[in-house]
Amino acid sequence: MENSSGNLSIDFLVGFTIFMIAFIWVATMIPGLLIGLSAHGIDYDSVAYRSAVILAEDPGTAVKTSSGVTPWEQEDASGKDKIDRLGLAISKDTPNILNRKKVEKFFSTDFVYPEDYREKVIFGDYPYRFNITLLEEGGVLNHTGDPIPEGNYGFIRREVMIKGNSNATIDLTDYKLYKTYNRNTGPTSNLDINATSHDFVIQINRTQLLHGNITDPPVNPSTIAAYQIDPRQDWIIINITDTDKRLPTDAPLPVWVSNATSLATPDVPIKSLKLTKVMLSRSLDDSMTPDIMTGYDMDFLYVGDVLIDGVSLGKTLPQDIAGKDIFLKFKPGFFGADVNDNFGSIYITLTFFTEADCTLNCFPNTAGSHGMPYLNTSESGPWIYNYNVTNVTQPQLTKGVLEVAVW
Amino acid sequence: MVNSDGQLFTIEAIAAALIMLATAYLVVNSTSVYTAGDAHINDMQLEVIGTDALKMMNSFPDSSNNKTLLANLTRYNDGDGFGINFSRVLNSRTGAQPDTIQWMANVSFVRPDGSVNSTYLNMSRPLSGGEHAVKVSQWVIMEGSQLDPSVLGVEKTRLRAVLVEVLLWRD
Repeated sequence: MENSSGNLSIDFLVGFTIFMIAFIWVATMIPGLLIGLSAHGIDYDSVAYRSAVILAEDPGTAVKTSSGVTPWEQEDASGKDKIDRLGLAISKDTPNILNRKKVEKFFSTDFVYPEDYREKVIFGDYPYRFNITLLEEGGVLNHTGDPIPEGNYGFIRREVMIKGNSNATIDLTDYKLYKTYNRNTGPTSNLDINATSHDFVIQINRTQLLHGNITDPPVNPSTIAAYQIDPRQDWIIINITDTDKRLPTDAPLPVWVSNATSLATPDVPIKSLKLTKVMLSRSLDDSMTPDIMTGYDMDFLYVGDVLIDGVSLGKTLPQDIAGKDIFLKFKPGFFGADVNDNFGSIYITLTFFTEADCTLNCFPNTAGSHGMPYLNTSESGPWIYNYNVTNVTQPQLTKGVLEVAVW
Repeated sequence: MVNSDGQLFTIEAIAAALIMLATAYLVVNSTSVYTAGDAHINDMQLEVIGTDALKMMNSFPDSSNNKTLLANLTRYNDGDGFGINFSRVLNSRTGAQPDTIQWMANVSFVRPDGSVNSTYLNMSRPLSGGEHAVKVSQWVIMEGSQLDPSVLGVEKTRLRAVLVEVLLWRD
């Protein structure tokens, strides 16, 4: 006999089915809730890779000011909040070639670990820990961050090159080559001159440095930034040496020097050799107002190892330079750090005072002192800081290794 | 005889089966399994290192040089010189111990008849066949070459482009 004791009603079946489907659907969404808690562990490598790309291939963001645009590496520590992104590359056209000033600034105490680096290099909402290390060929090691842990961490290594600074040495060879000494403009045109004050002018031609050809034929324009002398970003270092060396003996000897055929015997000793004034100007004829070094924010002049700040005792001009080298060390941006500071020349005039001791061995024998030829560009024209490899040691690229670890 | 007895038992069984299936699905879906697909991360790291090494060797160290190191080595088919320089750049690290990436390099160029010739340059050690390698490459411009003097060395003043290809793997 049939009965319906065990039957379920149709409406119950329908309801139960809908309930089961809904339950299974909700249950499948539960793993999605858990993914957010463990995501950071699987993207360490991609965060490390992205950070390394920003460091090695991106030049970073410039800071817009009311007067123009300033590269981030020229910004003071107080203005670091204006920097959006820290990149070490010279430009976007020169990936893996790093700017030395940017490297020094990046690893300096101006940026605080980890907050500043998280905001400007690592990015992301998760508080990653990280270690960034840069080893330059020659052993120079820069690093920031925590020690790398033993466990799980993301890692990337990049091979890079770091652009060096240019520098120049003006020595006796240059004196001979460029005849940067004044001569008697009379008929003999020899060194028989009685002058105690001499102006030696160095020209930093930004137009030529930033817009002229570096080599002949020109290098690839897209990589020119890697080899360019850029006063806005690079150090300009000039060493004037052989300051008390005798001037060329191939020229007719000054008559006043003992009437001898050779300077060897007897010699007229130098009585005084001083650097008396340093002046910066935008024009050779001083038609534009020059800046005379008075000791404010002009910390570029060294006589021997001493910084001549123009204020401290023993560190003002005039300075005795006999037997001492003169260093002119202009920091990046000294001649203007804005991206628009790319035209015009800066003339650096050094004024020397020179006297020979003519109480001995002069002809005719004159008591007292006598002027003498010395470093002087009044006839040769300014000594130019340019891409002539004879004059200036050009920027070199040195190899380096950049490692980024994230955990 | 067919009747409608036991329908509740049937439905109960179906419901139980569905619940078991859902549970199994939840369990399996919650675990992360490291599959061969994630090996692309290691491949990417090797590719980046290898590409950087070739790029650095193919860069002028200063503005006065006419030829890059890689161009000089490739031009004169200097496998030993390539090996020393490439290994040093490839395996340099910031720590004391260098890396141990192995490599094998070839140079390819086009013959006048249009065929592509590939010449062995050097290797750190022979491939055994089981290595998981990645390939990186760099175009090099040079004047003539001793790779195949009968082909590339004839017109020494004409610029040539050759492709340096390197297989990289970790032991």
